Amino acid sequence: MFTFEIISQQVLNGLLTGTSYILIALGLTLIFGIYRMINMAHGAVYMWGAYFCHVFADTIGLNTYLAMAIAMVLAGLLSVGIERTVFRPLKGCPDWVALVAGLGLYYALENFGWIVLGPRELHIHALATQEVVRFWGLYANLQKVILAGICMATLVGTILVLKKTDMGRAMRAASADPEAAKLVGINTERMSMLVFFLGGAFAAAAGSLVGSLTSVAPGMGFRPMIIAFVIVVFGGMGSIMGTVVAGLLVGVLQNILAYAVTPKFAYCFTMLSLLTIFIIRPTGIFGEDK
Amino acid sequence: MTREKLVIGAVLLAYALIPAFAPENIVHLMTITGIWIIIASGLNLLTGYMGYVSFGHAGFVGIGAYTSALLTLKFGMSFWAGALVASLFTALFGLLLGVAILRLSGIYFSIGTLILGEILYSIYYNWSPVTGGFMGLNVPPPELALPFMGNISFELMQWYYFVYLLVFLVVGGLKLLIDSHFGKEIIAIRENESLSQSLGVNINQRKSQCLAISCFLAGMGGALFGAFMGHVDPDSFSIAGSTEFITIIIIGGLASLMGPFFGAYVLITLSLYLEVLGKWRMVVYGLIIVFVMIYARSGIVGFLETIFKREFRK
Repeated sequence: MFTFEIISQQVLNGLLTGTSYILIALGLTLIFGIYRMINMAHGAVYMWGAYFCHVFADTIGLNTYLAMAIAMVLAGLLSVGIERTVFRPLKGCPDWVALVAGLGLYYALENFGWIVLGPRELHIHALATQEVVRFWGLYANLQKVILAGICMATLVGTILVLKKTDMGRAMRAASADPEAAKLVGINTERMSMLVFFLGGAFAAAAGSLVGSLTSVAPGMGFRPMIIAFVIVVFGGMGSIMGTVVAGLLVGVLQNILAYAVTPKFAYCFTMLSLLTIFIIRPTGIFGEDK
Repeated sequence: MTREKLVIGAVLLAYALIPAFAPENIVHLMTITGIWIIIASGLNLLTGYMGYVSFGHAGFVGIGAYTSALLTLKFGMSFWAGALVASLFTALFGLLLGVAILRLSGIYFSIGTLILGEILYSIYYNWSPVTGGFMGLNVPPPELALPFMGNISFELMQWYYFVYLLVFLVVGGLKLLIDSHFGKEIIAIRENESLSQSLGVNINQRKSQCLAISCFLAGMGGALFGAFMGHVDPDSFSIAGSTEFITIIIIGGLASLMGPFFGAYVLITLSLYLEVLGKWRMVVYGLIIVFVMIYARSGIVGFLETIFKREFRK
């Protein structure tokens, strides 16, 4: 039952699950880095991104990945709209205020989803979901491999932009010290809009790909959002490398638990183990001490 | 002082007379509101007075509801004993949990309780042999055997008076608690935790006691809610439920004994009127939460303070 092949297959599945979490969490991390706020409406952007992709891929009939790109832009704009209307007025408030407001907005957007999407589960048609890749005696769904590839490309792209370009330097400056950044002429408001746009786009990419593997439904965003949110905390709030490692760890942990205990309680036990670590080290595995 | 007593007397009289005039559905709704006030008052003690914002409170309410339901269903206890044991059990859970989760503070405490709320919800939903899964459990109605009066079956009227008796006991008890040394100490913890510790407040003990009391009231509310509705299912105890309780105490006004009253009535009335919106109801509901957070964080009590130029909050 616990042979080497099975365990390594579970670890691989976990790593692939982890990449979708990383894509969602990356947006949250960028937003947290600049905004010092936790965007609880992120899961709704993820769901709407998947829905936009469904509309362009299945209703209109575009290529799945082109549809995904359009969905990323639309979801990015939705995310920017959220920043302008809800989070900007809340800047400087206690942290939990943004948390409650984000949750309220999440429920509004999810329930709006119930009206637009209807009670049926929608699907995103993608050929790659039916293909299986084999290597070293392991199996992986091609769409999941594409998801991992997109996640890696996004990560490398984000890190390059942050480290090498002027815009990235401005973003890091706005994150390190918003006041000083303003003084040297960085438009911090534009930076906030940019991170919200990127965050929304990444979430839509994850939503579209996960949606094509399972289905698109109004409530699909809540758990991934909570998991992504926990990953951001574990990654040390605002650290990209921390987010990546924590995302992969959580994915593997969840898959191993689903196999070893029971799939029903995998989520529960994952959260329980994370809560335990969280209580011992509140600043995350990679965070600095308070 | 006498004026205050007069006001309290008038309020009590109004509450006593309402069922005589109001239609049945209003009395029903007011009874649920009463249960919410009990839970929200407990959350207000933790969040408003001590400054620890819990995002998992609906999970604690669930512990009370399920424990009480299971004690009556599987162990044949009476509702009264079951509800009491369930409340105490929830308090004990809070006390033990406090040892761990109160190591966190500020936003970290909120995140910790949010994760905990998800864990509890997931247990209610998935542990079908015990909790009945998504179908939930049916709870038998309580009965009261009094000497000389025989068996009293619990109809709507009995529920109404019983719940509001508890509401006034709870609010009275909280008033004594807030005015006591304990109350001053937890407010000191909210204002500056390390300073109050250096001034000799045993903060760890105070914090766990406060969480335990808050959980006790949540458990009590849960037990009442389950028996009153005759049914317990996981959806009442999700993060959405916790968000609702936080919204109640914020709409009402944090750190005020009247706050949960105002908040619960406003939210219940709103949800009543929002029924006409049909499937748009929850969308508007969510937007109202956002609106309150942006524009009305000081709540109704804060609004009254600016009108009457008097402090109602601590």
